[in-house]
Amino acid sequence: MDWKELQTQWQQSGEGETHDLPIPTEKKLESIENGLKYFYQEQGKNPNTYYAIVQFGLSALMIPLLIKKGFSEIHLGHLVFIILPLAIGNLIKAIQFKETNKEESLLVYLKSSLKEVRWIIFQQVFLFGSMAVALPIYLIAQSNSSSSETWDGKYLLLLIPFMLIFAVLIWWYRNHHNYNVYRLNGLLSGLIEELES
Amino acid sequence: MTFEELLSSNKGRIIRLCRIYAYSREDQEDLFQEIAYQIWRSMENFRAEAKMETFLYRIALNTSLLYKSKQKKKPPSADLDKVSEPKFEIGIEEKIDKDGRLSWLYHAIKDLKPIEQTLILLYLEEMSYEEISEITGLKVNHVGVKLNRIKKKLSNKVRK
Repeated sequence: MDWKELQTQWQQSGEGETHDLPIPTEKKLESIENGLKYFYQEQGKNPNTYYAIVQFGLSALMIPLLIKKGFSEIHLGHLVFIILPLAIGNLIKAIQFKETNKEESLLVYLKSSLKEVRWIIFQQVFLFGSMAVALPIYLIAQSNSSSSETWDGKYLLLLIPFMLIFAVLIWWYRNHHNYNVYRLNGLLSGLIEELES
Repeated sequence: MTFEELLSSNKGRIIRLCRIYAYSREDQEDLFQEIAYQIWRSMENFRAEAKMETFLYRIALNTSLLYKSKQKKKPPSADLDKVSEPKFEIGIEEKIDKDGRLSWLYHAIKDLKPIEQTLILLYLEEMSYEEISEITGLKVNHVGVKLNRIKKKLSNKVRK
């Protein structure tokens, strides 16, 4: 192989199409940086955090319901405890999105929201996963208990370690999959497109 | 030299880097923008004793490697709007790549290990062993040995 010739060819290869990619001006980059700064600042008070707490808390209302009624009496109507928090949470997020991104259409929000479906499924799987793990332990402990004391309150205590595991798993998932980075990339591409148009 | 001038004079180099580390045209453009942004942000940290091109290439390379590692972590469903099968778009000018060797080279480099990719890229950009050593952190002698191995590896691939 003639490496010298390859080097020459290689260096010519990028030059012919340089017109395809416009060089971002400093002004554009400043706008991007401002956008990024804003985004990172917003991350600290991200509505997602509040949203997750509200959603998680409301979904957890299913727990006393399960204890009181037992699995046999649970029907589809009770899914409102899951759907309602999701709907309320999404509504809050949509309003906040519109407030902070006045120029963007809600379609952009919906598009990014769809990508979060996996995330929501993950939350629910872990929530009910924690319950599914804690419940048999509770039932076994209750049947083995000699005293007639009720274990209903203790079930909630039993759930705490599993909830903590759940929280760690969510934290891992967010970090491992760079969840926020996708949102950031999406935001950046949108910003760049807008600046270039 | 202003930022625009600096980027303009090194544009070809960055584009070649983007072609290696990003598959689709869209990804290559994203990476280009990201590199431009990182260079712009790092310009104030530039020390006069270093060579500007070396400094710039180091940032471009680090950004590309980070970009690639992020792409690997990315779950496939987060990218529904893109093609599932990565398509390598190089669009090399036919007049330069008469015998298809260059096109082959782009593909062959993509099959190399990350450190090998970096070294051969720097070599193809005609950087000296000292500059390569400065960018990669490898010893100058080690750079030479490794490069010879990589070149041999690529030559063997051509024969096959």
